[in-house]
Amino acid sequence: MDITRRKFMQGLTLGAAGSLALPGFLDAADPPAAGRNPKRIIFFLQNHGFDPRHAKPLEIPYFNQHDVVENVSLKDLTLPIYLEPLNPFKNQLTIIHGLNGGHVVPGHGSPYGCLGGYPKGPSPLAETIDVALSKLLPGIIPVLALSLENGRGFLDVGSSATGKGRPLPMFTNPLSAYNSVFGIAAADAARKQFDIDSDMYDMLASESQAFARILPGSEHDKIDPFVEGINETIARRKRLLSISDRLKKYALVLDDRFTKPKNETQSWEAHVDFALAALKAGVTNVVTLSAGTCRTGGSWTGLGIKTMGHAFGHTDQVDNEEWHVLRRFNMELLARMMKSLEAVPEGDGTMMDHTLIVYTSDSAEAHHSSGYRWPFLLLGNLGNTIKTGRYIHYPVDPSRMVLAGSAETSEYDKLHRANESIDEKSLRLGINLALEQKKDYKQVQYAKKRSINAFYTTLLRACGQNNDYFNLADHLRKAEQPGPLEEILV
Amino acid sequence: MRNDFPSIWKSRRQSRIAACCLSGIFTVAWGAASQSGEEPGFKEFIKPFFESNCLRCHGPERSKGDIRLDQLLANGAVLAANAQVWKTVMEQIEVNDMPPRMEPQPDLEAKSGVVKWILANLHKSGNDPRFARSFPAKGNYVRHEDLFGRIQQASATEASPPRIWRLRPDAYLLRLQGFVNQSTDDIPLDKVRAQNDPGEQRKTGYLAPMTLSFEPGFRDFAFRYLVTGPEIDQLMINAKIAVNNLFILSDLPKDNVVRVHFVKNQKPAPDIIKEAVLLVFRRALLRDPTSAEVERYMAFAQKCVDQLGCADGLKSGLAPILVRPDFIFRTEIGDSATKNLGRVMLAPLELAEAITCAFTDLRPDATMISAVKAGRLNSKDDVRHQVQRIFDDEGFTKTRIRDFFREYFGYDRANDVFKDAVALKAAQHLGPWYPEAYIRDSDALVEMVLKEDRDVLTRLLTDTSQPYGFKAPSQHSGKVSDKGSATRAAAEPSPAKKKAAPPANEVRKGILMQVAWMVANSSNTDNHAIHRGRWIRENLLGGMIPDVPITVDAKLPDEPNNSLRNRMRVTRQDYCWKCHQRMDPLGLVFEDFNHLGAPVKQRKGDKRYIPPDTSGDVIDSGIPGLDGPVTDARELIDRLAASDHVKQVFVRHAFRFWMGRNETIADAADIQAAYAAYKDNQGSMRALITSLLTSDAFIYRQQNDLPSPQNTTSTNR
Repeated sequence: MDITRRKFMQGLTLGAAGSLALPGFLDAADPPAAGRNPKRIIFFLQNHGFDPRHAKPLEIPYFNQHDVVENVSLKDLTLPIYLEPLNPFKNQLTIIHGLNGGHVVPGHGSPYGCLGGYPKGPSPLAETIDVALSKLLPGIIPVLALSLENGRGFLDVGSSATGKGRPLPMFTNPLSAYNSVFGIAAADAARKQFDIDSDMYDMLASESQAFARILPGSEHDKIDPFVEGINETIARRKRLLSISDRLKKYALVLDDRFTKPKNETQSWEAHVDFALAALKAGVTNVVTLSAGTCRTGGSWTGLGIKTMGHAFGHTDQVDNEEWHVLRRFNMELLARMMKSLEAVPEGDGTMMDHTLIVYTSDSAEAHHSSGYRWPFLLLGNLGNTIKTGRYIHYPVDPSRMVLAGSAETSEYDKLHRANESIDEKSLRLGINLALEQKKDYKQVQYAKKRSINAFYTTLLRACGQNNDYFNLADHLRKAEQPGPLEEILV
Repeated sequence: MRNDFPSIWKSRRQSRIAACCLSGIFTVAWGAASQSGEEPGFKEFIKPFFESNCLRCHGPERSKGDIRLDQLLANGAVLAANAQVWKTVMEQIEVNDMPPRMEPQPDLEAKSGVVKWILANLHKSGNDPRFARSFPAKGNYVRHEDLFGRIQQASATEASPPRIWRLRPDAYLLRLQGFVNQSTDDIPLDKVRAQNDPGEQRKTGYLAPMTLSFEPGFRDFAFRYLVTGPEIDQLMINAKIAVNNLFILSDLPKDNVVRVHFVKNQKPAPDIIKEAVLLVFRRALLRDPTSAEVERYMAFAQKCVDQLGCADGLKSGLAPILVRPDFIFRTEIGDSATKNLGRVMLAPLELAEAITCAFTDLRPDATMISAVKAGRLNSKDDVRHQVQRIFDDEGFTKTRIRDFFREYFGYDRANDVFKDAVALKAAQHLGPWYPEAYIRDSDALVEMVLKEDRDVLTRLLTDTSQPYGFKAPSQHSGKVSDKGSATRAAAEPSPAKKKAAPPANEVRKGILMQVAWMVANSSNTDNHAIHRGRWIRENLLGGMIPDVPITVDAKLPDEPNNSLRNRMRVTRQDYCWKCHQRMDPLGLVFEDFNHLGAPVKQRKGDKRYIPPDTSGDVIDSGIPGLDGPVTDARELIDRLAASDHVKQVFVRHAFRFWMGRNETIADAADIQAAYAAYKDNQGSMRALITSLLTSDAFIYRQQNDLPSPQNTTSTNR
């Protein structure tokens, strides 16, 4: 059997899904025992972009040009109004600016590229950072991947991947997601049903294996993942059964947000609550919450935002009440997550002491973004491995910063470019300049010092894996300093 | 490196002789090596080929595109580390991009030999690209001249391989509905499709967890889709709901003994449980269970009933039948009883499902099932009879034919291209943007042409009558009736028809100049000449465009006051142009329409207006009579529509769609027969589909030596 094909087929997800319970992960994963302090990471991806001005302390000039890393304490700085809900956690917050992700081409969302650090596309080019981290922080479900319901049904893909051509499916339906984990925690009457369901999967596994035996070798690429999927489900149920006490302890009372969500906002909140419950119960140590699965789209009607779906992304993020509401809502969710995890004792402290929340947008600094200045917010110190309370601005290519200062005044520009981010404009002008001066187009584009890949390398280093690069293509390495971001790593 | 071969390159004539000599040596040596069972030698043939044809530009003295083939050759082997470069080299040779057109060309046989060598060695190194070529977009890699040339004697081992094929989401939902209520003939398919909407799902209970690819092109290939862990959870949920609905909401008689027990939650006797197992098997799998299956499922259902009571117990006990792989996948294994010369015919029930799926997402109808039971679906003639019956039955929903045209032309993707308010305003679009209306217009054109069923492709490409209610986007109301604008207008001719004919530069010719196709191949704010050109190159000319190299960041400069054609100057750089010359000159001919598909007009008082340049060119098609400049889209379309080659490419695509796989050289006879049927019947789609569905590729499979499923020949309903 062609192993390349086999691997590919096992991972295909658009109708050919990989699995939440990945083969090979299950055996290695132990539910966290009492007294252990596992690290946990939550990726929180906001759709439509994260304007750097939303994460700029008032005292910091936006277009400050740096040729060195600007690294200052947040202590004496004032958070912008958008981040106000995080004020109580300022000492646990790190704001990062200036990371380069231009090679991801993140405009209009970046399927797999945001967490992968490689060019976005319909099919992933390599595993994403959440999956890479899950190997270092194993759980019953290696990566709990949840996506905002987008009309595509029960599962979706787009943010995470277990390898090349192997997207990781994400639950879009909060109730299905919850039941698949906490179903076991239901009342005793339902426990009988759980046991029968386990028998049902056993029966199905046996029937499917019999069916597989009549198929020729080539078709095992298709039927084996089906059989493996059933076996994984059985194994996952057994593992969940083994922590049923913890599941019962952290089971949620399901409200309308789960059973009859009226809008995306409610589904999103339900996902957050479910993710927190799953973390507390020790089901997983890596969560990816992705609004819109890294595609453009997603409405927030529950917040009273009237500009719908994709069109919302086309609106300016500053001096825009709708954006103000959305950013604050998500910051409040982050604050809620922190409070919730701080309330759970663990070791000498709380769960939050061993947790890191990474907030960013899958389309970088804007809906129409260039990715040259990809902002991130970090909350928590991941078991004292990540520095907190810092504002860090990495140098952005000076030529690009100079270009960013120029402006075009054509009528078309006024019409079309009113909402263009400054980085997008600089990219556009930069390319033109390169063409005019017959410079190497690629050189202008990729001349960067630190990238989002370096940030992901930092996370891996914090979890014990020493890489110089994470998924950074060879041709980009000459412009990239190897190793983690020292300003962030303890 | 040129200095190494000074005498070879003195003149084109000499160089041709040199290339021929080289390839001649290559061919002889290749043949000798093959006869001795050895791979042809790298040093003897491969290296000289590259030295003669490639190193002058990709060697130590010049390294165009940063490609140094001398370094690749120095290694002498295909390794994981350089496999990607070898793949690129192979593609460049295959699609005739390299050597460049203006350079001396090695002959086809030499190129073919090198490609085979690279392929074999990529395979050895574990980097076989053939799987990647199973995708619909890669179908053209099989050379057209091989398919339409002399037919080689097909061996049994080259018959279509036995396979399973995961259901499409719509087919799965209909299968569940048909399980509950067998009279699915009245089910409106659009309503079924809407069920995968989360809101609808909450009403019906079912949700198909499987999806189809969103990529352009044919979406449902048999090799492509799997079902894995998280999806199985949802399938099980659906199965329980369906079993519940069977006993509560179905067309079962009220006094059905199982139903009575289920509703009253009375403990059933074993014979009633057996009855329930038989009922579910017959409805779900269209067959009786084997005695072993009866035994297993009875025992399990009994256990469930004992634990949970009758209703919940039967739901859990019978649900696994609706998640069995033979419910979720369609089988095409073949009936071993028909074994002949290493191949087998599909079993009657498999044929019934395959024929039906070629037309609709519904399950086989009663007539088809009767034929299976009566042994009247055992030969090619039987298949032909059923296909003709379906064509003759106007009440039989044939949605898959419409799906073919949607996926082939890709016009339904107009819905996926977002147009924001700024872009709409800049294009002077009034009212809301509703691309669905234009998709329906294109559907209507397809329906109209299919109704007459003559010169189908030609008419789809060239029709100018526009009798289907087309309105220019700026005049479109933005709303459609339930039946769609097209249908409405077809029923009552619109007043617009009585108006004077539009100016010549606004005349739309066929489906490529309809709004839906143009929008489907546009960006958020502009025309997308590259996508348009690529579609024409691949879907009409049968060419291939290599994948975009990873180092290429495909962006055009943003110059608001500059035309798309001027901004695309970046693609005319040497490195880009060798691929873009195959697309851009084909796609730029539509520039007299904007990205909303509306004619470009001079605005009042706009003195800077420059009439759009719609000139284009067919470059390097390889087809006599097709190459050469064109003044606009209409001329290009007329030239293409008149070409037999284009029709052959169309037939190749039809083959892919209905076989659910890419063609191979072994399919040459079937494809030629399909083309002959199409051509001999004045471009009839019915003739084409009939030929495909009665072809060996559709009906026969390679013999599978494993035990065949004994269940595939008996049916019950």
